[in-house]
Amino acid sequence: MAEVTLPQLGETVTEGTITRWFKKVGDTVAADEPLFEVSTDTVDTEVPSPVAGVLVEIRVQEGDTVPVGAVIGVVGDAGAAPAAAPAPVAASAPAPAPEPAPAPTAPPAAAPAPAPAAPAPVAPAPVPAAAQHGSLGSDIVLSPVVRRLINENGLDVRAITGTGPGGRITRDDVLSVIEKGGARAVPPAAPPVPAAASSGRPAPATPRPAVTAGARDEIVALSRIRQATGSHMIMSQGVSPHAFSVVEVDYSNVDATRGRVKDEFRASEGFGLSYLPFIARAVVDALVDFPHLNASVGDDQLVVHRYVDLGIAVDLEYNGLLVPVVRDAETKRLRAIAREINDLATRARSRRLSPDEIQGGTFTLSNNGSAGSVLTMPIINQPQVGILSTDAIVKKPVVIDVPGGGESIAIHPVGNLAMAWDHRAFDGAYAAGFLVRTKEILETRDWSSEV
Amino acid sequence: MADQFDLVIVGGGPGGYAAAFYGASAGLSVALVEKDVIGGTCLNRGCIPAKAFLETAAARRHAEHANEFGIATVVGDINFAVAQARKQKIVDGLVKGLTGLTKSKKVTYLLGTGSLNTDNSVTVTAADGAVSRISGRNIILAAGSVPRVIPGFEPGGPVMTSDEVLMLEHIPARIAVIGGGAIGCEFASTFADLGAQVTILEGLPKILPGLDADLATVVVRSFQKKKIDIKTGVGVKSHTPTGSGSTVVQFGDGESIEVDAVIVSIGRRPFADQLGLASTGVKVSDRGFVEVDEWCLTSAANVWAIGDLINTPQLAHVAYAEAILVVKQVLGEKTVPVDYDRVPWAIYCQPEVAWAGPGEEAARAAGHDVVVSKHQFRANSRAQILGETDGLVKIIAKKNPDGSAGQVLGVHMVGPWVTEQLSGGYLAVNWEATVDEIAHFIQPHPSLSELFGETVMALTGRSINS
Repeated sequence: MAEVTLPQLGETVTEGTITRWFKKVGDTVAADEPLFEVSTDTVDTEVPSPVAGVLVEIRVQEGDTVPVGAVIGVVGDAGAAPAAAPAPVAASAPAPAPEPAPAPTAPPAAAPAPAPAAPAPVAPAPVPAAAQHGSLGSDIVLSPVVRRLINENGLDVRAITGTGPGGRITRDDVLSVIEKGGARAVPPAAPPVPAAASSGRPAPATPRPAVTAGARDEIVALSRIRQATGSHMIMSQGVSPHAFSVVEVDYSNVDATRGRVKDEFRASEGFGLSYLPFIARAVVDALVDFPHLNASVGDDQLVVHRYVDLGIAVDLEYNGLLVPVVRDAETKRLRAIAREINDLATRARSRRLSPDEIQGGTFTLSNNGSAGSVLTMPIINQPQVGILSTDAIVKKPVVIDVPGGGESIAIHPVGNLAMAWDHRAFDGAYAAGFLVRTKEILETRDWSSEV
Repeated sequence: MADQFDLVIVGGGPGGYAAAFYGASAGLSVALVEKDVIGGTCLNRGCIPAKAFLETAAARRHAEHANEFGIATVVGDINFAVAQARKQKIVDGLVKGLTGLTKSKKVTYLLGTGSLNTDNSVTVTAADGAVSRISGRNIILAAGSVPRVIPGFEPGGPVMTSDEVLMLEHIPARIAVIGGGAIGCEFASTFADLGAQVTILEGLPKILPGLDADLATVVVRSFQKKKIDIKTGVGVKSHTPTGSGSTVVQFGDGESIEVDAVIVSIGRRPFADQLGLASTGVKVSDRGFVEVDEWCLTSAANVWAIGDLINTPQLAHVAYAEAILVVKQVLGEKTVPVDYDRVPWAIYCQPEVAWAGPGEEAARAAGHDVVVSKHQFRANSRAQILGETDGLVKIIAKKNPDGSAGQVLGVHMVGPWVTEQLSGGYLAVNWEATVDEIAHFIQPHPSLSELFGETVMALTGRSINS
């Protein structure tokens, strides 16, 4: 007997809508066979059955929205009787299912505590815990003091890394998160009303101005992806001291190849060859020369990644932002990267990415140029240490060297590469070195060999 | 085919019986293997009998002071055989209670020496040589520890370890206690209060090494009042029996002392000797401890080890905590490891010592900027009523950036009944409370525990009684 729950489909996903059941009560299902389809803000995906058996109970009907962790259905042993005749209307019909053995709760997916080395369980294998609506999971051991601090500051306990024994969250862990201004529960708790000076209440951790809607205002509810993005941005600004460096790149060298192959490319690939894959390719090579940009800041250490998982920020037609990831980008050449970016962006816009395709990432490109911006300061995608905005490429007069000596003004395609970076990880000279290396690659490489 | 249990436990001391009863109460089928008497060292040869004698010593102390209370008293000789019988009655009663629990909780209790086989079965060899074999999905090794001995000071005649001391029928007139740790200080305190002339021989520069210096100073002064001779920085060399029951102990730089009993209390070593681990995947360190991770799991799958057998504080209540930790994992429940830096400690000499969390030196050594407050029992009303005013409460708190006291790191106490007073401090340390948070709570008046409240309040920058 296994309860099938709504899995954690991504860091920002808190709930999902069951859009389709592939099985009826009484149907046999194989392990890993798709059981139902769920739609969330960021992905639509099929959820497989964790075990082989018979679907004995459907707890959430098509069209219903439930939080992550909610029990969607129950798969019983092969030959198990269905829980009840499917109730005609009421989904809440009591289901006299065989009493499931008491299942110990497991931590939510993102719980920081490392699982103990697996003992041979005498009790049934743990199944995911039921939905945790609050930010305080009841199965996490917290001291009363730590619990109060988390509550008062509206923090998401799952976003706090515990450094105590067994990953227990200590008072210092919470204080350091508060100091960095982050890890708010999603949706964020309403800020406490600023206390009157005489009340003696402690000031709220992050005071912010009260906003009320008047008669001439319209209230637009923030979508979950909007709220989650907001929380992440606040957290990132709190965690990383952002610094900003820009180089101007002359794309005439890229254009020499791009102009020559783009018709052939569109014919064979089915999509156009933009500047972005060239920039991605150059960035990946420059990251190899400047590895501290392909890293994360840990406690008193820089964790340098030996692979490049390149995140590409994709705008969902003004309805939010997703960052799918090109895995092991350092092993891919221009055409492969172009194909992958096109595929990821297309599927992002149609919400067809799988959760693992939008997780991780060691460095991010934010392609603001396609929207027309000529200089953008992005916010770092934590826990990375740099994010590069590729801004609009426009024709500009530039000074060029004339063969045989002398200088001249010519019209070239020019655009900015603007990078926000974490000053904890390195200093400005290193950041500039990376940008200049990227610029050099774009301006001097013979790209014809890559397409 | 061997009998199959959910849990097989080797060793019936505090770790072993706690695991057995806790596991059984959660519905596990449990076998408990013990080679001697249930209750282990703690109940039969350790904490419980030692504390029983400490109470005999306390009774004598009270009798001596009874005149101050207006009760005319002449303190007579001590009939130590009576004290011994009283102790044994307490121990026997507790053993009987534990034995009853094995029955009421349906724990299969096997008398014999358990040794581990590679297939997670346990061979039980009874005293008469009969061999049986049981197997468990999970095995807990809880074989405990035995007293360490010094070459040349093997137990026999006047030389004894705690095992022999606790069976004495009379009080030796002159005693040398080798080792000034917790066990040595408890024996020194007991026998000094019972009228013996006690000398402590400690190899390190001070007794109770590792104890916060302010607390150690109080203990040393109290011991000096008891006329305990404390010799530190001296190693013992050998001893020469005189032929009339006493012996001469050679120590330090050519010094010697004639005593009627030598109590060797230099610590306890893990007792893995009979577990048959050499042929299994369970690793044993070169110091003899069974190696475990923070979850008490050994290097062999589904084989756990707890208590004095592993290199964690040698305290019965730590073994209890480890037992529960393991059983919860066996049940598949979520749990957290024991926070060894914050367990409660207790030394039952007179005055008693109790603490949780680091002392002042240890907190500073760990890199904390600290604020410290100390308050003496001599100012406490209840302590004056008791007539036991030696001692203090010391609290070590983190220093906030503005210099005020913040989170409580350590609570350290020495004085009357402090082992019973520690719990508030223990909770404060483990809940990571700040002094402001604790100062909000009320202590009963008049009580010894007021001193803890007073010390906390002082750390908030205000006070009532000081």
